[in-house]
Amino acid sequence: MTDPTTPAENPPPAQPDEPIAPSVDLAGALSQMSGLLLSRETVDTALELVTTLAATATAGTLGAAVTVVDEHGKRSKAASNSAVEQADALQYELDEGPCLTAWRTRELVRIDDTTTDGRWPRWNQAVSPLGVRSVLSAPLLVGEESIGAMKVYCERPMNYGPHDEQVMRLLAGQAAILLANSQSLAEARRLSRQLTDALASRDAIAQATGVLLAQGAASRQDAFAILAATARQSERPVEDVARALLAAVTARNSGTAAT
Amino acid sequence: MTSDERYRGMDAARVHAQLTVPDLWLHYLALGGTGDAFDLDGYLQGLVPLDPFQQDVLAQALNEALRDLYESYLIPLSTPAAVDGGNDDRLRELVEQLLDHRSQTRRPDHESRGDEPS
Repeated sequence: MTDPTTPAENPPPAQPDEPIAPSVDLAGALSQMSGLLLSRETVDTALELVTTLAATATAGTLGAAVTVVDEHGKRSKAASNSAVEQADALQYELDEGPCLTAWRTRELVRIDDTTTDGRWPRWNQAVSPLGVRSVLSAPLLVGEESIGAMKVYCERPMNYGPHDEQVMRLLAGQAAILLANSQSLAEARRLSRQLTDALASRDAIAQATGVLLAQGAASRQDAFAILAATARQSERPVEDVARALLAAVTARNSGTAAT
Repeated sequence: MTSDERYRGMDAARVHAQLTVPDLWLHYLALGGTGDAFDLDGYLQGLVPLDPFQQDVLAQALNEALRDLYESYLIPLSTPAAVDGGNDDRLRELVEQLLDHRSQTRRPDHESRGDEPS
């Protein structure tokens, strides 16, 4: 290991009780995230990765959760265990909690002890039995826009300090870029698929219109009216009628060629 | 139906079919519509005219979306009948009739040969 922060006289890695060298973990975490962008991964995979990284990059963390909202208002989330999932769900039920505050104010939120903190009384009271004592929550910011929040929690009070805040800020900054890009990629892929389908249908209808014109239809409008009327009679979409018409013409022509 | 009622009816149908204007535009594009999304938006709000042919394409797009939505609510019977095949045959028959009718009006000497195997 060539990390300059690790003294040469101390070859074994950090003891479990000591805070692990965050610069090493973070570098790994950040490079893992940039690698993900290059591969074809989904928003869900990105969420899971960010959750895992948040849990491992902060010392003493028991669980982590990430929530993002896309441009249509659809919420996607990932949680590393059921306690943190429940704690997250309670925020939306009670409409209060550190993540919602981090999200809305775009500021990092730290709770040192949920049993004494007075800022979110109902949420704090509800999550104490789940073993959530200290909480750190960071907003996921892309430019000026808040696209979600991520949080880590620990069952011990006073677990997180200024150093963890710094780690969370760095992690949240990278996670926001990754998640925003995964979202745009998924959206772009969806749109491209819809457009391809639309153009294929348009192609078939244009060809069928051509067939009808060749057979004496007065105009494109007339040809479309014939297709629409057939669609109504057969209770099928115009695209199906167009494809059936093209198939029938092709079959007739190849039949003529064979005889 | 006056043209004034028509755009209102179409926008109501769009809302009923749970389509955004961009979604509806994609359906309309798939049917061969040539207007852009702004043309559609303006027409549905009664701000700009749309030529009758484009209106018909839009109407067809809406009717198909409404039918898809309606069919998604249908409850299947416990003993499903082979409806799909019948529907396909019906379409094939209609298309053959269409081709025969058209070729007869254009080439009266041409014999109907719709039942010929391919």
